[in-house]
Amino acid sequence: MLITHEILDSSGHEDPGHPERPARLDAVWAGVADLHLDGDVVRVPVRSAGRAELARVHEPVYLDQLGAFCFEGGGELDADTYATYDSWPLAQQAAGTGLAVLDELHRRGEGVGFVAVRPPGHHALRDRAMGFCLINNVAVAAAALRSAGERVAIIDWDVHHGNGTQAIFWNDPDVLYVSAHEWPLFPGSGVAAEVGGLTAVDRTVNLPLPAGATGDVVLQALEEVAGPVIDDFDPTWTLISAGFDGHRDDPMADFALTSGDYARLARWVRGFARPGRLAVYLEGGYDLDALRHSVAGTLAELLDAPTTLEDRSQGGPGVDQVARIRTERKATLQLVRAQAFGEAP
Amino acid sequence: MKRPSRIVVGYDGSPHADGALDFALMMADSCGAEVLVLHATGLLERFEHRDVTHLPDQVAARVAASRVPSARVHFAFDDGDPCTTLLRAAELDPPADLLVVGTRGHATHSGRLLGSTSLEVAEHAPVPVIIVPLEEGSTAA
Ligand SMILES: [Zn+2]
Repeated sequence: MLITHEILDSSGHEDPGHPERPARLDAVWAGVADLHLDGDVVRVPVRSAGRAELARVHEPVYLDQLGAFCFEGGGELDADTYATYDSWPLAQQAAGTGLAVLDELHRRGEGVGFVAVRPPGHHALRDRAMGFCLINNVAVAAAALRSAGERVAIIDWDVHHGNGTQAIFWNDPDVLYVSAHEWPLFPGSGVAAEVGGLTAVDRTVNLPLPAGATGDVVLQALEEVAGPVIDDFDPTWTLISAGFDGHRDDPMADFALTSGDYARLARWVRGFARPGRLAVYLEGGYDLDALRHSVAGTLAELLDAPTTLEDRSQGGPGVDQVARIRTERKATLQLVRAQAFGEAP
Repeated sequence: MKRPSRIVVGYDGSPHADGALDFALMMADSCGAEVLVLHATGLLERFEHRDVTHLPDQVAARVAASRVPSARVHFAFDDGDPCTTLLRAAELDPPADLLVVGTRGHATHSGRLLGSTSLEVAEHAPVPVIIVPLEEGSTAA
């Protein structure tokens, strides 16, 4: 069963010519419709996140200033990121709807959560908008679960590193952040040596992979490097920070993934996520057809729904990089542990 | 503290960045330092929504108008957020020993409370940071 929400009208958050645009959500919902789930879909109402819910991950002064900036008509927050008059209420709805879906999942104890909102979130820092993101939706969700005593794994397969999410939970031992991303690429962070803060050593796993990386390499990195960390962490909830800009047709980056690859990644997540405790949060994805098919592929796998998938990609660069990531993580973990616990490296 | 021998300046082509570049060139002239002019490549540039191919020429023109020989000034693109790329440049080999940034770049907000790159750089940098305000009389884009 798909636990999702009423369609968010995001038309007020738009900057002509900007790739992070309202039509993205139309493509996502078209992907859901392609699965013909019929009665197997629950849609909760859209709701706004409250200040206290947002303040778990954002500085209150940032929330105030962002709200005021939008109220005055908005503008450019940095070279990539815009806000309009409507962006603040929409960002509150985006984050709040992510919480509403979690509540419904919790109430039912079954199903797969799906949150298709914008603006996206994973670049948003505690006190700064960045990379098209204003409020960090997946972080707001993870922080809510965390405050209820849960252990949360965030699997971020957007092609860009989710620097905001990583920074927000850098020192939190109860949130595991895993990211597979193209590197070098914006935002420039996410090297293998970033393994978590001193109070959360080994709670951040970064898998920086080269341009051209194919699905087999991304999966190998996740399975071989992140897999054991996830097993050890044993999350009670799993959230996917699901950007689909790693699709081979996406104009924003150069991974070679297909809808079949996203389905395969989803199967991997399904292997360790607890039933009824898995939710998918939309991040990037800027080619509308690729977005539609990738959403369909991901949800089809999670819901056992039949669909037609693009062939999985394989044979791309990055296999040797996986070995280097493992070596670099190991060396860094030894150093950081020595620093944290006074052990000899 | 020794004289700076390698100055890194963040550059996005805005009037703020031009002011920071001019200041970095003046410093370089007075202490004989090399200058790395660093442009952070953001999301939209990758999307070719924002054209930055003119930036090296724009920098070259300002260098030509300064007293610093062009051989001592280098230009580089680095994928990432301006703050991340500047902090990483500070740790290059050889490391930078001075970072120079404008108060803000293309953003239309005042920067201060919505999270300013320059303040964030200053907070985390392992070396001194000079934040150059826009000179009176010039207008922000
Ligand atoms: Zn992305």
